[in-house]
Amino acid sequence: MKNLVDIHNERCIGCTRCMRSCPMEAIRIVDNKAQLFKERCIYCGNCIIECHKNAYKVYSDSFANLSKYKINVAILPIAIYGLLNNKDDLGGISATLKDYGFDEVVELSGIYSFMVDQILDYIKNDDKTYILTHCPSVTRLVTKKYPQLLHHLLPFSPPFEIAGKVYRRFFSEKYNLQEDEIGISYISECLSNFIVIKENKDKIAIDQVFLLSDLIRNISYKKIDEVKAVKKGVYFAKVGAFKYVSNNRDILAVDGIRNVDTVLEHIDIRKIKNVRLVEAYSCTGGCVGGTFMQENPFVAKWRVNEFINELDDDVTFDINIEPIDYYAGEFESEEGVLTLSNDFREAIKKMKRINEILAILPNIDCCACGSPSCRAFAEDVVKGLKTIEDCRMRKGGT
Amino acid sequence: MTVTFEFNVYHEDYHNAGVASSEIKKYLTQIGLNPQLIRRIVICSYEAEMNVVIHSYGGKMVLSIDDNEIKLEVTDTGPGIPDIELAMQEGYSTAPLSARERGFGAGMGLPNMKKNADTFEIASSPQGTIVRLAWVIL
Repeated sequence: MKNLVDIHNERCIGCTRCMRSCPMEAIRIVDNKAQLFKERCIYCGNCIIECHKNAYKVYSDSFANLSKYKINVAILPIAIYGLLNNKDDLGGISATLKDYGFDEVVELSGIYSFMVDQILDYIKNDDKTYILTHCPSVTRLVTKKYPQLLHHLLPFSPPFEIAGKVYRRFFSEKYNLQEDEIGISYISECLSNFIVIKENKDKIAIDQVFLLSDLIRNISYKKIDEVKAVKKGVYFAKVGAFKYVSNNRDILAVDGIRNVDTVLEHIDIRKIKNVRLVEAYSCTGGCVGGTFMQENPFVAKWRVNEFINELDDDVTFDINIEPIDYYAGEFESEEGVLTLSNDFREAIKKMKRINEILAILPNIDCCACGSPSCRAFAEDVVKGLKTIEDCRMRKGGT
Repeated sequence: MTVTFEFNVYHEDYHNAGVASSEIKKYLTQIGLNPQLIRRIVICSYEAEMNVVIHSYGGKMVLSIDDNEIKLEVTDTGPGIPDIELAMQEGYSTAPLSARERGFGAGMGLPNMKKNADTFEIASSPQGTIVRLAWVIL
């Protein structure tokens, strides 16, 4: 199988930008080319956003696949509202997607607004600090780095998955077809959703996934479809929506994966108390900051606000949603990705060696060696990924 | 085999308060310790680090890990705790306004450490306070 994220060696110049932006230290520069260590990756997309050589490549599905289904449904991401100049634009996008071969185009605001009450209801059960699971990168960060916080994750699927199940049932009834005759495609605004769909195709309700950035280039606004959005749900294009629509003071909103990491750490050591829900998004500004948005997240936020002002309050979502559509069950721990060795004694030995190497490094974190910090370099030497000679700034011998 | 880490902690350096504990957490994770044990250790190291920031003239934390035990020794250079028994009471706090304004100084530091460490020792004089914490690795 092809890697889900690939690096074009002919484009990559080994500049270290992506490596330095990675919150998981999952990237190294080897022989002047970036290398991604997948087991650490949480698909936040920072590397893709930081790369100025367009060297990162992700593989979207082929439109030819649409012919496998009798009816094709495109699900627009909630972040789409960060790209609209006016209310009619949504109809233009919908009409353009139909030219690509989709029969139905739906958006997510109804699903988001429905989930607000489910979540508020659920967090009443316990007085722990729950973590919102709308953003799969946040969920991954928890499973890899904070396995002890797994029980803080809400047991709910991300909204695109809920939409996949709900609309598959809805359109199979509408067209009187079998559920597998309906093709559900998600137009992804971010790497995180994109990869989750790619990786789990046999398990989830989405059949195909396309990049928003690929589609948005060719939007025509000649034909206009009627697409209605639920106001309360549109807020979820940006961070802080949950806090705003629920008017709840016990909700902490955080965006940007490094900030999320810090907040999770605070939850872990109980530094944060009296917070019932952490609304966390990997991207700056929430979903509007998605990897494939091609718009500044703050401009996109402003557009969302403008769009909300144009919306009628009385649009409601009246498609039936069952608990089986949104319950995800338990998340699996990926404990161990960050350890030096499976054997405890061996890990201590390695740690000691790392400290010895670090002592002779300049500790300026210049990254010229191709590791994200002097400490990471010392780890890489111990792991055998690098040799001490790779440090160009080293004083003294080994 | 023993591996040790040393961290300097400075008086009223709220900007970096918690950084040492973050690093401790990172290293314990790399060694592959049980996450629940890591949490207990980090809760203690965080409380200890904050105590040094808030109450002392500055000090250092030394973490040492060997095959059977994790030790954390926190020392500062004064001014010391006049009445340790009182300081061990939950909710008793002598934190200045500058600390309370930042949400610290709830009077739970030492009690929390005692609760989360397998062994807890404290000694204090005007020349400084020393807190020794240890956890057994099962």
